[in-house]
Amino acid sequence: MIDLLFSRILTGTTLGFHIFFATLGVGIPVLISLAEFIGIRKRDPEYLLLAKRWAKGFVILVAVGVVTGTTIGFQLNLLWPNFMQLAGELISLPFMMEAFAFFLEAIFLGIYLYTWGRFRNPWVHWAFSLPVIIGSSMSAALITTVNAFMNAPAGFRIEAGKLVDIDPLAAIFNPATPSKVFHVLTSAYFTTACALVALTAFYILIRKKRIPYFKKALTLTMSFALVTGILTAVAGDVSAKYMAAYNPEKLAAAEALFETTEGAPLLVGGLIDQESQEIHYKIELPKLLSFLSFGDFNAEVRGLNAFPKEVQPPVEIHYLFQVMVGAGTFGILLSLLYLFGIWRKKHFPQSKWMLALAVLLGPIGIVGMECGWIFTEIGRKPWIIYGVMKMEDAVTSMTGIREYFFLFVLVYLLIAIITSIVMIRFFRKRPVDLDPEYQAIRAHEGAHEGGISQ
Amino acid sequence: MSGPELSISLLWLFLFSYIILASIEFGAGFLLFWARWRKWSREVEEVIERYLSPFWEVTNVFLIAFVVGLVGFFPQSAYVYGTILLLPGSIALILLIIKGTFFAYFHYAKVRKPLPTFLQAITGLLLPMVLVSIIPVSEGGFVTEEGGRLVLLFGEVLKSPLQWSFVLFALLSVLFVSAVFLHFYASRAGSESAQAKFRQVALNTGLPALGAGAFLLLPLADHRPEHFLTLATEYSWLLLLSGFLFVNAYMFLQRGKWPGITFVLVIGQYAAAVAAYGYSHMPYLLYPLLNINDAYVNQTMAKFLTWTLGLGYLVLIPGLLFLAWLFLFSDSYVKGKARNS
Ligand code: HDD
Ligand code: HEM
Ligand code: HEM
Repeated sequence: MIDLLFSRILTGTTLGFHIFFATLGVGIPVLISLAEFIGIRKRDPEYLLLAKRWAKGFVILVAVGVVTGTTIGFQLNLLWPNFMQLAGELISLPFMMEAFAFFLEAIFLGIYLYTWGRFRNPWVHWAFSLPVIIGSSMSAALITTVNAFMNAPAGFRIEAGKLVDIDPLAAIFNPATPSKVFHVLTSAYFTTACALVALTAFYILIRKKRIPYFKKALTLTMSFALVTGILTAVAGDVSAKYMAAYNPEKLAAAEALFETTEGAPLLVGGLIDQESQEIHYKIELPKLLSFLSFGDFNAEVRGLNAFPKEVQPPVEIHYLFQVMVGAGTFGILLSLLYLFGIWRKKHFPQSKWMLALAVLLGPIGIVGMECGWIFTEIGRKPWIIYGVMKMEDAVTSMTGIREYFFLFVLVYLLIAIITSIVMIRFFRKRPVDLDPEYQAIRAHEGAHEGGISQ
Repeated sequence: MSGPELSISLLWLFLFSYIILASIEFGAGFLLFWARWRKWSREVEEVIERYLSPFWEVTNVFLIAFVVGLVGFFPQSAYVYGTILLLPGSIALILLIIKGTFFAYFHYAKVRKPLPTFLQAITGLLLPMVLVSIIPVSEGGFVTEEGGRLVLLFGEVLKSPLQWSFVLFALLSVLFVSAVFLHFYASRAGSESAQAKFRQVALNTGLPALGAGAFLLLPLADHRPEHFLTLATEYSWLLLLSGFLFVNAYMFLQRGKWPGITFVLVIGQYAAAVAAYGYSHMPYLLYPLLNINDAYVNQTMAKFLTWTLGLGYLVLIPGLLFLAWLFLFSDSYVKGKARNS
C-alpha cells in the first residue's frame, strides 16, 4: 500500500515538475516567433531583440524540460510496468510519433538559435521558428492523447481476458482527445503569456525604467494572454461537457455535488464538510451547472452519491478545480483592464499597482495550470485507465518506493534552486539597457531623431 | 526477415545513433574539463563548444526514441525491464538529470565555474558506465523470481567480471570515439593546436579501448558460453571487419591524415562490433526471460508502428542532414566566423 502511495506521489511530482518546463516549452516559441514576426514586419529592431532575449532564457528551460521529460519516460516504466505493458499494446503509437515531433523541434531549435543574422532575408530565419512550434505543440498534443486515452479508453475490446479488435487510430482519437488537446494547448499558451507578462512587469518595477522596449513587451504579452485566456475558457467549457458525458462522477466531485439535482447550481468557492455533505461559505449561481454541462438549464446532473463508493473520486478536487478556473478568470480580467487602459491612453497601465498585479499573474497562471493537471489526474482515482485497470494492478511489485521518492524530490529541489539562480544571474549580468545590441538600436535612432535619445 | 527481427533492427538504428552521438557528447564534456585542468589552449574549448551546442538535444531524442520504440514493439520488455531496473534505472536517471542541467548551465548560461564544469564531466563518464550495465544484465543469470515477482540481484551484478569489463570498455570507448570525432572537427575548423591534442587523446585511448573490447569475450565465454560461441563462429566475420576498420583508422591517426575518413572508419568499427554482439544475442532481449518473438506487440499495432517509424525516418534524415550541413560542413560556422549570439 505504501509503495502504491509513494509511486503515485513520485509520478505526480515528476510530472508536475516536468509540466512546468514543458508548458513554457510549448508556449515560448510561439511568443518568440510572434515577436520576431512583428519586428521584421514593422522594421522595429526592439522586437527582434525581445525575441532574441526570450530565446536565450528559453533554451535553458528547454534543456531542463528535456531532462525531466526523459526522466518521466523512464520512470513510467519503472513505477507502472503493468500499465506500460498494456499501454504498449494499445496506445504506443502517439508515444512513437511524439519522438519524431521531438526530433523536429530539437533539430530546428538548434538551427533557429544559432543562425541569427546568417541569412540575408530575415524571413528565412523566422521560418525556422515554425517547425519548432509545430514540433513542441505536436508533442504536447500527442502526449495529451495518451492522457485522454487513460480517461476514455477506446479502440479495443477485452474478451475472455484477451485484447481483441485493436484499433490504434480509434485509441488516439478517443472521446476525450478533442476537448483535452484543445484545452491543454490553449492553456499552455496562456500560462506562458502569464509568465512573460510577469517577467516584463517585474523588470519594469525593479529597474524603475519605463523604456519603450518594456512597454512593447508588456502590451504584446498582455494581448496574447487575453486571446489565449478566452480560448482556454472556451476549451474548458468543452472539457466540462465532455466530462458530464463520459466521467460524470469526476464532474460531481469537481463541483462538490453530492445529490443528483435538476437545474443544478454552479458553486463558487465553498468549504466542504464531508461528514454532513454540506458546503459552507459558498456562492451559488442558480441552474448554471446544468447549463454548462448539458446546454440546458433544467438538465439533471448526477451527484456523487449516485455512484458506488469505491469509484468515487475524492471530493477535494473541487478546490483544485476552483483554483484553475479562478486563475483563468483573473488573467482574462487583468489583461482586459490593461489593454483597455492602453487603448484609451490612460496612465494606469504603467502604474505601480497594475505592474504588481501583472507580476502576480505569473505565479497564478502556473499554479492554475498545475492545479488543473492534479485535478484531472487525482479525479481519475481509482482508475489508471478508466474502467479498465486500477492503480493497484498497475504499480510495480518492487518495494521501498518511499526512499526513491525522497531521493528524487531532493534532486528536483536542487535543480529548481540552481536553475533559478543561474537564470537570475544570467539576466542580471546582461540587463537590456546594457545589451550592446540595445545600445546600437538606441544610438541608431538617436542619430535619426537629431540626438534626442534616452 | 520476420516482423520482430525487422523491428529490432529498426530500433538498433536509434540505439546505435545514440551510442555514437552520446559517446561524443559525454567524452567531449569530459575533455572540456580536462582541457581546462591541464590548461590547454582556449581553442580546444571553443571547438568542443561549437559542436556541442546545436547538437545536444538531438542526441537525447535518440535515447527517447529507442525507449518508446522498445516499449511499443515489445510491450513485455516494459514490464520486465521496468520491474528489475528500478534501482540502476533510477541511478541513471539522477545522473542524466545532473548531466543535462549542468550541461545547459555551462553552454547556455555561460556558467564556467570549476565545480559545474567538473560535475558535467564526471557525470558524463559515470553515465555510460551505468547505462552499459544493462548489457550484462541482459545476458541473464542476474534475475530471479521470488514469490511470483522478478528481482534483480544487484549485488551479483556488481561482483561480476562481465559487468566490470563492460564498464571499462564503455569508458575507454567514450573517450576514444569523442576524441576521434573532435580531431575531425578541429581539422575542419582549421585549429591545429586543438587537432594535435585530440589526436593525442585518440591515440592514447584507441588501443586500450580495442583491448577492452576484445577482453569482453573472456568473461562472456564464462558467463554464457552459447552466446560466446555464436559470436565467435557465425559472426566472427563482423568482428574481424571491426578489427580491420580499427587498424586502418589507427594508422591514419598515427600519421595524422584524413581525419574525416578516420571518423567514418571508427563508426564502421563500432557498427560492426555492435551488430555482431546484437545479432548473436538474438532472439533474447533478456536471457532467458524475454525474447523478441514472445514479447512482440499485436499485429495491428506492429504495422502502425512500422509505418510511423518509416515515415518518421523520412522526416528525420533530411532534417539531420540539414543540421549537419549548417553546423558541421559550413566553413563559416565551424571556423567561428558566422555571427551567432
Ligand atoms: C492555466 C491554465 C488553465 C486555465 C486558466 C483553465 N484550465 Fe482547465 N485545465 C488545465 C488548465 C487550465 C489543464 C492543466 O490543461 C487541464 C488538466 C488536464 C487537461 O486536460 O487540462 C485542465 C483540465 C480541465 C478540465 C478537466 C478535463 C478532464 O479531466 O478531462 C475541465 C472540466 C476544465 N479544465 C475546465 C476549465 C474551465 C471551465 C476553465 C475556465 C476558465 C478552465 N478550465 C481554465
Ligand atoms: C504533465 C502534466 C501532468 C501532471 C502534473 C500529472 C499529475 C499527476 C498526479 C498528481 C498524479 C497522482 C494522482 C493520484 O495520486 O491520484 C498522476 C498520476 C499519474 N499520471 Fe499524471 N499528470 C500529468 C500528465 C500525465 C500524462 C500525459 C500521462 C500519460 C501519459 C500521465 C500518467 C499518469 C500515471 C500513469 C499516473 C499514476 C497512476 C494514477 O494515479 O492514475 N499523467 N499524475
Ligand atoms: C506522461 C507524460 C509525459 C511524458 C512521458 C513526457 C515525456 C517527455 C520527454 C521524454 C521529453 C524530452 C524530449 C526530448 O528529449 O527532447 C519531454 C519533453 C517535452 N514534453 Fe513531455 N512528457 C509528458 C508530459 C507532457 C505533457 C503533458 C506535455 C504538454 C503539455 C509535455 C510536453 C513536452 C514538451 C513540449 C517537451 C519538449 C521540451 C522542449 O524541448 O521544450 N510533456 N517530454
